[in-house]
Amino acid sequence: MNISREQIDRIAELAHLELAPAEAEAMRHDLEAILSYVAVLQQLDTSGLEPMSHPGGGAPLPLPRRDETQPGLGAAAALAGAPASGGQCFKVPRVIERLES
Amino acid sequence: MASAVSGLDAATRAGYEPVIGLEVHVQLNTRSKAFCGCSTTFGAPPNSQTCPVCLGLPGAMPVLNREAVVKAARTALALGCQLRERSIFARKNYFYPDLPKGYQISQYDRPLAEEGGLEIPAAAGNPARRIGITRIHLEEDAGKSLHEGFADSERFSYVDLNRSGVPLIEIVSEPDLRAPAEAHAYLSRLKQILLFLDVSDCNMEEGSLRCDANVSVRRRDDPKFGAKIEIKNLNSFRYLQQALEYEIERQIETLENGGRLRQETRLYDAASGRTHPMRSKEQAHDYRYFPEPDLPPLIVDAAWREEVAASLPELPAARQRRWQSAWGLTAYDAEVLTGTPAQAEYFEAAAKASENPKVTANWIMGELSARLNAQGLDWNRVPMPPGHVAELVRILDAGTISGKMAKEVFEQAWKTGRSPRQIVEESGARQITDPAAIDAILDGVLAAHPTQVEQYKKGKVALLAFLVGQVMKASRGQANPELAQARIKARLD
Repeated sequence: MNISREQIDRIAELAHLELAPAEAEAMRHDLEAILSYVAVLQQLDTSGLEPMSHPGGGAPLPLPRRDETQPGLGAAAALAGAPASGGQCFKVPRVIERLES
Repeated sequence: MASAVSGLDAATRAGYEPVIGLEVHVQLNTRSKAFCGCSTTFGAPPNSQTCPVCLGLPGAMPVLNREAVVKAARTALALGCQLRERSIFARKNYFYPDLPKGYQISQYDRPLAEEGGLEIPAAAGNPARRIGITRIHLEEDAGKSLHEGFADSERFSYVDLNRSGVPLIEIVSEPDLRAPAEAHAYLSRLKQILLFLDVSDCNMEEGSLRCDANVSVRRRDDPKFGAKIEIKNLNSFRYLQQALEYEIERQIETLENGGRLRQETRLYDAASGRTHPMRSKEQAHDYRYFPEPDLPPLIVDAAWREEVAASLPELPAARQRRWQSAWGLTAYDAEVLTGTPAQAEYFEAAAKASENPKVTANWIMGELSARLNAQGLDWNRVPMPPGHVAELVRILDAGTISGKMAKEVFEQAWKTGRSPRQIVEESGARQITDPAAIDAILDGVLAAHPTQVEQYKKGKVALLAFLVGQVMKASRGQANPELAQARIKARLD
């Protein structure tokens, strides 16, 4: 299973990871090994089998959780772990200019 | 406005057919969020309605709200969709500060419901038409990013996660719409159904109903669709129509000038009335959907589906048909009176009590609507009970008061909150229907206007109306005008 450096760069971009060249190479190596292993598993004939998305089978309806509110953490506790906050909001570096001018 | 694009002539425009599909996001009006017990109340202080689940804290597990599934299924059945026996949740992965988990719990290749449709009314010479609905799936809303309004908004964005985890359904139409007006009609009809189902408050200003549009144009003789452009940010009916009008013109003009269109996402800017391309980096999404391991698949069995189907209310189209066939209402009146569930209920109650639906409809659409509009009231807060409208119609039908008096009584009832019957009885403002009483009034009128009486007798029949008017005046509007006319003719002819 061959993984190109371009594929690694694209995956890193989607994952918002900055990889140094050596890290990218190590990642490429590891992913190749993982996918080669999965390629072996994929040789098994699974036609006619329902893919298992969850180990518990399924949830019959109606579901048990009623539509009732419960107290949350409160804003102070919610924000306590945030690196920056203000106006009772999480504060992050400005995200985007949405519109092109 | 669409006129921002220069003038295409009508013939050129007519050579192209727009192809439009809508993706509508609807916030379900559950009390608690989709996967946790936090309140969904709009407008609470920022981040006051959050917990480890909707904050995306490590280790927190989602537990799906029963009512969110019921509301999604009600919508699906009302729109004629098939409920999948087994639907699964999926993670849609992307990074944005208002999405704390780094993924949105949604549904992908096994949505809750598929293959429905919705009828839009006949318009502009086209007959009523069914617009296909591809799918309806359940998902969660993201939080809200605030890019403006803080002293350091130049450098920072602020994030409120109260909305994070509020249940949504996404309703995706087929590309069956052919004009901006049809898109408008589809969205209004959809909103009306959602309101009758009581699954959402559909408040577009508060974002509980949001719309994206896919639009392309093709030459009328071309069976293939053109490049699909997605327009986001259509948060009002007016913007939807304006953005589509602008975008269709822009696409036709681009093609006419020899340009090419490529698939892209654009944002509508209401201030300029134009659409703008999103930066390419924002479009570089690959959501890498995969099954959500923290939630089991939903299993719909026949018994549950029947239970949900049995709970559906009478929908607006069915009410309109019933009112037209059983009560003789016009299609237009029936359409207006089903504007909102509250209005439909009000009319239904008043019409049943009055036993004269057509006249009741006129009072509700006329006098009552005008007063509600003037005072900025909606149909959930009508100060006059439907029974009072019914009472007025009954008094009118019994001939106790004239139409003119009825307006006066209505005004009194509106102002004082008292019942029309009480007002009529206490004021003594009953219509005079006794011929002897009319004759007594007529004696005075004839004596006071000898010239007119003479002219009438010589054949100037137009003076009949004058004489009736004098009787009405002398009786302070209480005389029955038909009877007055009959008595005048009996005495003078």
